[in-house]
Amino acid sequence: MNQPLLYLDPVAKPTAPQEPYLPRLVVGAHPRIARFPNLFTDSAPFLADLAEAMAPLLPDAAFPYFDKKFGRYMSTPASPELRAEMIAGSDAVVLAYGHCGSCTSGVVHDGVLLAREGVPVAVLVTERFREEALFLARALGLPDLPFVFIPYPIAGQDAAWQRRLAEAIAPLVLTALTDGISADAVHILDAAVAA
Amino acid sequence: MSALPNGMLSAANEEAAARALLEARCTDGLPIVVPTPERVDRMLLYAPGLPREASLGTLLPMGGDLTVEKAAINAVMAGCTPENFPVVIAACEALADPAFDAGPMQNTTHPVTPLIIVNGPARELCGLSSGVGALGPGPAGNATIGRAIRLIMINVGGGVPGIGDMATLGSPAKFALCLAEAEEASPFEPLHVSLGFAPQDSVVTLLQVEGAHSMMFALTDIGEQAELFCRTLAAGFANPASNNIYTGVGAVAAVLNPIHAKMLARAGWGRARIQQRLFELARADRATLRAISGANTDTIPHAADDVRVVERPEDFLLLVSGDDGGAYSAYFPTWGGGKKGSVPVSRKVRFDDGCEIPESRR
Repeated sequence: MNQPLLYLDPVAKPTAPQEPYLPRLVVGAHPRIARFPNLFTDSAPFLADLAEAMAPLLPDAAFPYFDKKFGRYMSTPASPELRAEMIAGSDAVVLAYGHCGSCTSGVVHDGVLLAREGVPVAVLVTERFREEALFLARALGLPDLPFVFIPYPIAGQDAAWQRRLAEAIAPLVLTALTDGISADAVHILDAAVAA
Repeated sequence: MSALPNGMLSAANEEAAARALLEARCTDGLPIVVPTPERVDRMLLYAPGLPREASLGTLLPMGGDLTVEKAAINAVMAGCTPENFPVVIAACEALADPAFDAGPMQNTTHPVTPLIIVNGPARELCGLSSGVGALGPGPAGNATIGRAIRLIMINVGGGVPGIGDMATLGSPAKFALCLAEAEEASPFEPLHVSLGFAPQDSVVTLLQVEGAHSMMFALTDIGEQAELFCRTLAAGFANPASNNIYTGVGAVAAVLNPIHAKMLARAGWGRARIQQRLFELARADRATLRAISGANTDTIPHAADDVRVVERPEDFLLLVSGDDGGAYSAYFPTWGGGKKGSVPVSRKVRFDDGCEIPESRR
């Protein structure tokens, strides 16, 4: 019988240890839910729509705004100083959105870095970049990072459509923050139309 | 693939092993050389005094540990000879340097890839070409070293197309982009000397770039050719279809044909003067740019009307390579993304002195 051919595995294993995602938003009297767009097209106004849609779900909530000033920094993780500012000024952070290769990398990195400091997060990623986002979360050691997957494209779409999407996903984003559960909202508006 | 201890895999034969690696998305789509222990051991003989388990760094986005052994495995797969391996090692060290910022480079939808430039004695010692067809096809050392780096980016960095590498169309330059500088044919000091190394050093420099853009410039009399050459080259870099005029940070590169380099030198232009003139010319007015490309100008990270391709003259990396049989140089726009745009990262190529047994004088 022929002996099998032995050969060496070219693939390396990620060096980051895998850890459970633990942060949870405990809704208190005046919750502060930070909006953190990566400044990809329409990410900031979409988060404004989302905040408006979440307000009835969280009476007395505030939705402070943070960003990295220029869109060209969307792939670069937030500075420690900016993260410290967000941590001091909020109880949870909603990040938006993964809409291209490098900006998905940035938004996942930011989500992981905040989560490692105990901040509950919800990371919005468009469907087209779902696999990349999941891969990066595993590579960075937090495979259970809460994502809300949304339709692609969202940037450049009609403003009324974006507002309808924000209203539809608001409860899912809140659940991601309070329970650490990811959600698939890719077809959420299709379902609403069908109903 | 049947998993065995110690990173070993098994298959019925070479064909099955190659197919398994292809199906596991461990290749670039082209046939590979199966990395048997014997082939990897031979490659490791040319590791410059480094044990196989030594780490050359962590490669993003996956964060894989880039050991000398993993470099050797992927170099075997790429078809490298052991003589190529010292250059592969140096390129790996540059690739894993945090300053090179490999993570976002791999993730972006832009077709950016590392340009690998080799200077010094390693060009001949490690089998690299700076002559005709230096960027392919043809020169095996250039092709396989470039390919080894791509396979390492896939298998250690996680740059699998559609997962960790989101380039929408990809590029043939992502298979391999490696060349040696034609130092002997150049009237200028070599690139590595301009970057602070000694002439006798062997150096690998990596820069994140698009593939080569051809630049045609027909030579007639000397006259004002140097100025016209720089105008033409600058217009290439400032093309509204490329990223650099919008991002304005990081370096770009030009590979000058020896015949163009000699024309510039005869006209009294050295590297610094060429870089300064390119810096002055590679620009646009914001309004003119907006009339061409509209909202692309919204990504410019400042409000000034004067928009430039790079921040400093020295961000134009210049080297000489290729055959002087035609009037074609090449320029390499870059992605301009990440922390600081494309930053050139250089490493010395090290060679193992091997086992020298002194001769007895007794």
